[in-house]
Amino acid sequence: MNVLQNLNWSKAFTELLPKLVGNALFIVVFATIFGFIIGILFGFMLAIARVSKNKILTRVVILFQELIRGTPLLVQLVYMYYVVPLLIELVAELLGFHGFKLNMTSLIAGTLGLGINYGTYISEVIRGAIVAVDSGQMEAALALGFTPRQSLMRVVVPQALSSSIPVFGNYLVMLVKDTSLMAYITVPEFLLTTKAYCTQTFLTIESYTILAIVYLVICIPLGILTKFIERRCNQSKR
Amino acid sequence: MMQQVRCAMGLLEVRNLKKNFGELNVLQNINIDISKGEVLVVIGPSGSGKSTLLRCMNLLVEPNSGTITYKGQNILAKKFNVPEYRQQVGMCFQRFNLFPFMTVLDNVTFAPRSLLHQKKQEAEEKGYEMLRKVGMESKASVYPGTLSGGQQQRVAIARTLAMNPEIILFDEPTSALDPELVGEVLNVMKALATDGMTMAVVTHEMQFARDVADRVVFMDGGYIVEDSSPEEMFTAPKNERTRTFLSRILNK
Repeated sequence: MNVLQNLNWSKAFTELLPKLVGNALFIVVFATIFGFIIGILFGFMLAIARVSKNKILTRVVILFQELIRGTPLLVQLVYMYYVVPLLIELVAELLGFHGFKLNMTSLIAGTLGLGINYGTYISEVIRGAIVAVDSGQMEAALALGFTPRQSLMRVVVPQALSSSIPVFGNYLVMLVKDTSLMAYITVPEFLLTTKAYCTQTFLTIESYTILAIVYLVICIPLGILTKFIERRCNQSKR
Repeated sequence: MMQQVRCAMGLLEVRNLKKNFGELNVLQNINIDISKGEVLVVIGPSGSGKSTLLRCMNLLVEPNSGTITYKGQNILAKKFNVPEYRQQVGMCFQRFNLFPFMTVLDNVTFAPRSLLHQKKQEAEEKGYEMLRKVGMESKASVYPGTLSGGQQQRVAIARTLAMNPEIILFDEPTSALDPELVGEVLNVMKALATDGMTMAVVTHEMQFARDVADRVVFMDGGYIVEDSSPEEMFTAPKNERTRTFLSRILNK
């Protein structure tokens, strides 16, 4: 009872919300957009490598995918921020670039980590879509005189991409939520900003409730938009 | 004189062609010639290797041994430019395989623009001309998904024609069609034959074989059992197996 009487929503709203909608929102949008772009480009490259005839390349890609899928995203972000820069410096040292210092901000590391992780999952979506395209499409392109590569890129891939677009939407919504993991590597996004405010004011219930609402306000419309695009994509197929 | 000899030698020569998928011997020692302007029809029961033979001709299937010679060049040679060869050898498929994300006109102009580097206007003029040939000009701007099977196959023929091929391979072009749509496709093919197009057709349409073919080949079990004129094939087949097959298919 006591706790409920002490709730101070108006204070929490007027103080925390501007922080979230300000700098934290910018960071979340940045990480989402660039993480997503990296994810799609990287995922596309992995998918093409997976369907290539080069056995060694395919094996390397499979190994990489297993590494990413077998470790938690949070661990990957930590690794990206704390370990990868050291590894790069080590390699630079071995190559003879003495005193090479790599300054990777936590936001850049987090965005890269998210992008690589999502790219790995997206690559399987794209690969599945490429394999699902009717083999007659490839044959028709080959029979017209296109090379195997041209047939893949100009006939099969466009169809695979258009059928994976709806799935991309779901990944985008997931990515927005997963930016919260970057709090652990000191990126001042929604969660870390809220946590900082909470420890100052002890408005625990208010702070985290507002945090949850902010995520909902972003993710629900995004989800609806995804459904809408999905429906449009299915319609145009008919 | 030399020219005549070359013509007699044939546009496409298949010698001792063998293909097996694992244990299964699909083609066993196939010998066949196609000369310029000839319409060759291949008939036979399913699983006899007809489609595989046709697919070997444009290397969608790679034979295990034997030779295929096109205009005197060995197309199975290591250095042979297969994509360039396929530009001259058109193919129409049983399931049409039109590109569903392109309009009918784009389907027809896609390869000439990309591979023959035709300008957009030139390619489209030619595309319309080809669509007119198959009676599909009015559907130039629609997507293939909205067309009937017969219409799709006619567009597929126009797409092949747009590359100006030396020969067209037809792999059961009417087998996936409703019976009432077969005629429109066969009529287009007949017109092509009359125009002097070299064609190799795998089909179950015996009437078409009888009317249009210059030569009919009967295949069974991976062998060419009989290779003769349509008159002879349909009135006086030499081989027992040919007779059984034809009587079964003509009396159904």
